[in-house]
Amino acid sequence: MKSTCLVLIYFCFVPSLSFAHPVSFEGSTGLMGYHSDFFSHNQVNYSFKYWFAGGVHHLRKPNADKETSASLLTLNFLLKRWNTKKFQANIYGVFGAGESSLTAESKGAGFALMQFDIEDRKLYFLAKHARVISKDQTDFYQTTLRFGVAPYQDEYSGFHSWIILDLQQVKFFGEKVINDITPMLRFFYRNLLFEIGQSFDGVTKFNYITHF
Amino acid sequence: MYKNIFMLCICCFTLFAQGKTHDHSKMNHDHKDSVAKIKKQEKKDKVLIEVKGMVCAFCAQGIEKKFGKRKEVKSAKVNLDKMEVLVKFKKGQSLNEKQIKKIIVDAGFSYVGSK
Repeated sequence: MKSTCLVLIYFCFVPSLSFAHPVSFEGSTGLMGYHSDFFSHNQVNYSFKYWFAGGVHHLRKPNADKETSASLLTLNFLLKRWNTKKFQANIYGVFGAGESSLTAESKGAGFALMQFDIEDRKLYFLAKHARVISKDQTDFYQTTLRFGVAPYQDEYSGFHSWIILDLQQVKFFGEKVINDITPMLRFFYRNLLFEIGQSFDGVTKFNYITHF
Repeated sequence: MYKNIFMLCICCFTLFAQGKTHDHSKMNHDHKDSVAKIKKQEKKDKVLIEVKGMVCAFCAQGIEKKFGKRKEVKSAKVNLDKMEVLVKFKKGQSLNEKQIKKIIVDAGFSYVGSK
């Protein structure tokens, strides 16, 4: 019941959540998303295994004249993980299908996302490409590169901070390519993480992740 | 004749005595084993688990949560610097190595060993 309420609150009041952990530990539910003035991507997933999750995605173009969005069901896979004493690295693949109105008409669409990330306690790197495809065209794509540095290390139960540089290229069908660079601050405590930043073009971004 | 009987009695007594001595030694061994087992049982009140890949506090919560769900576990504490998890068990309860390994793997990490 509590979990259901949290999901409803999430969909009703939080415009967007971040996207960084398509799969988490077995039996966990993740709420995450990314939000900016030109694009938002929300996701809820449930991890059946540490390498496999089912997800619901909602992509939206916030400032469009009419409703411009895509709703998708996905299967999220941890394709490869490297666990070492120094770092952890992952390759994720997310594949799904649903309905897209990101172009003029509403129609069936497919979704694919590939992500690579590597991090230790001081450094973090992520590369990601997501694409919504319908019929013969790409409705939307997003390429992301992220570099992060932790200015200090705290205990597991402490308050953690990261400085992140977020580079993005986003394109909606029939529109020009949007490139932006955003310095962000990431904060997390226990199972709550949020990031906030403003791009060099003045676009404010807000990301959010939680697992329970 | 009496001498032979006497010698036979001596031999039997010696063999009997040796057997007794051997039994005592066995009992001592058994006693030592029991003490070792008790000490081992005492040690299992807590276990320190070494984990590979545990770099992110945000992700490591899965390990604490997984251990926390087990009825045998009193508490689980993650040490990110050493990539270790200290698990304390409830009185008279514990988890074996196979169970511990499964919990670590299900949380998405690699199990190195426990002590």
